[in-house]
Amino acid sequence: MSTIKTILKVISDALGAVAMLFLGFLMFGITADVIVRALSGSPISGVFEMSELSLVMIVFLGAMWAQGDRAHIRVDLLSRQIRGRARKALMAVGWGFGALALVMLAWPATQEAIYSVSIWEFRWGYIQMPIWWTKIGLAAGLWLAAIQMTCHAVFALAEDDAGDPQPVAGA
Amino acid sequence: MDPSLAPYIAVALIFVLMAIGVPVFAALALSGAAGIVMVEDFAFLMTRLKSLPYSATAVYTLVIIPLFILMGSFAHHADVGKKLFHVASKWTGHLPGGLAMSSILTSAGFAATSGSSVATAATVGSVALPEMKKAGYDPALSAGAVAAGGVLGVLIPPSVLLIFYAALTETSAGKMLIAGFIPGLLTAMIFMIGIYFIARRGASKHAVTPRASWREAALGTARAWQVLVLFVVVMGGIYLGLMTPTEAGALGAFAAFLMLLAHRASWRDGMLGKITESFRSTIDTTVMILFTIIGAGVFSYFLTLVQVPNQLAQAVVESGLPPYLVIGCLLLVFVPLGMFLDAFSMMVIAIPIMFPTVRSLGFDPIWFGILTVKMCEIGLITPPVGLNCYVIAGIDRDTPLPTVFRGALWFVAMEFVTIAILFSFPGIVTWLPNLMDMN
Repeated sequence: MSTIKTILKVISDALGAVAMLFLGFLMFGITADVIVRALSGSPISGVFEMSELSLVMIVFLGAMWAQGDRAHIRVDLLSRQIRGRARKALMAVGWGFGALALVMLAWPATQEAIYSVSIWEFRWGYIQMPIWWTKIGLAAGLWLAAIQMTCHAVFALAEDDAGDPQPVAGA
Repeated sequence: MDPSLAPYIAVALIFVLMAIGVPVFAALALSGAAGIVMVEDFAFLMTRLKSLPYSATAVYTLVIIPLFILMGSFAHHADVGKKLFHVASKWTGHLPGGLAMSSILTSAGFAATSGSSVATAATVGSVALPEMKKAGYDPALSAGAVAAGGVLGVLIPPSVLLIFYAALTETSAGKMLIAGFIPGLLTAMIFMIGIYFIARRGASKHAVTPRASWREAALGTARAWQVLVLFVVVMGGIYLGLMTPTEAGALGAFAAFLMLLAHRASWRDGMLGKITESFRSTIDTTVMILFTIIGAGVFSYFLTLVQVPNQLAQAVVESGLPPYLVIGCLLLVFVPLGMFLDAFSMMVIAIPIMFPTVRSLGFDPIWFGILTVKMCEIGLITPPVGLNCYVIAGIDRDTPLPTVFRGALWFVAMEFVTIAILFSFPGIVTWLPNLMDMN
């Protein structure tokens, strides 16, 4: 079990690091765009399109970090009232349904990614921006998050998963 | 199965899944998917879901969400909250309940750099609670004030919840943000007046700090320049139409980043760690919010498919009920919802159903948005899932959770007074956004 946890951590840290780069791009790239536009009167080509794609990458490459840090909102009124096996089973069911939802999204997203790559999909904005790579990242992120949540469901059966939702910064 | 039963089954399924601890995004997505399969079929669902995760996240307006969260996180690490509290206490510390008033002022100031209620409560709580304890304040009042002050984080711009509402209803994000400003100040003012009257009795009456001279207070205020800079950069840019809200968010995050780099104490404590922590917590929260939007997208699509919101809107309009009564009833729905759900979940479930009715009755979506956020605020400080109260109880281990909730109850009453004022005088909300149109 600890080996699986280590593998999940390594993968989530690697994807999280890439997500951080995209977040850094949002802050520095858009700021640079605003400054350049103010000085020269014209924006940096592609920043607008890249900003949208960066958000996609942040969300789906950061998904494993969010689950690892228990950032998803859950109602834990029931699980806080019970102890022992019942609690473990409840936690496992909760994460299990979460994994099911992720698989439900990942499967069609994979088909979409395959199609997108087959036509080298791009979008038009100020410039022609390829988007097929974000669809690969999206599908991969969903599958990995689904695997991670499935593992959490199994772990919850074996050990006590605190699992309480963290107070989230956005609330 | 009779497809007309699908909406009832899907809504019931949401609550069942949430009750057993399924993440909210998954509960929404699975319930919506079950509903779609009931009225169409599985192949239709899979076709619809092919592009939904991408189309729900590749949205330029939503880019503002991580940027606002990042800005607040940098400001927190740059000790902006601590400086603000010292400034505020110079102005009000000598009054009965003055430090509690200072915590409200600090929350209002920090809210201008952060889009989050919990972050505001946590930041201000960690600074203000020890000071109030030292001064001998009633623990219920001090904890309640900080928990309630936190709600200003989602009202005073920049606010993630206002952006969330704008995204759900396709309302102008810039106008939503600007609209939160005056109601935020009004809320802070009502909280301070309330504290003054509460603190005239009991332990907090004589627990005051020495009065600072006008000169001392004014000079001290200059120390809180960072808040002013961030607020002017972000809201000034949006209000004057110089930047889009997303650009203003990026510039604000960058300015807060520079403030963190200029904060000497952070270099001693490990600057890289603080930056990494800010990035990671921002990513966590962004994932949570965007996944909730994806789940809500599946559920909303199902509702649109069975035309529930439109049918409801039509039924309400044809019923002949007074429109303000309808809006009042819709808002009151958030009270029981707030007992079990967080603000995001409440919005994603209720807004797609309610919003067509609000539009059909001819009400301003921005006004309704502010009232909705106000109602969600109440859920943040009422039991059993008042998130802000949990945060405060976590910071101040000596004050038990029931005491925090008891202290917050005064502020719930003040929240209802504020909501009644905003409900009765929509101009308070719509004046600034309308001025933007004129500009």
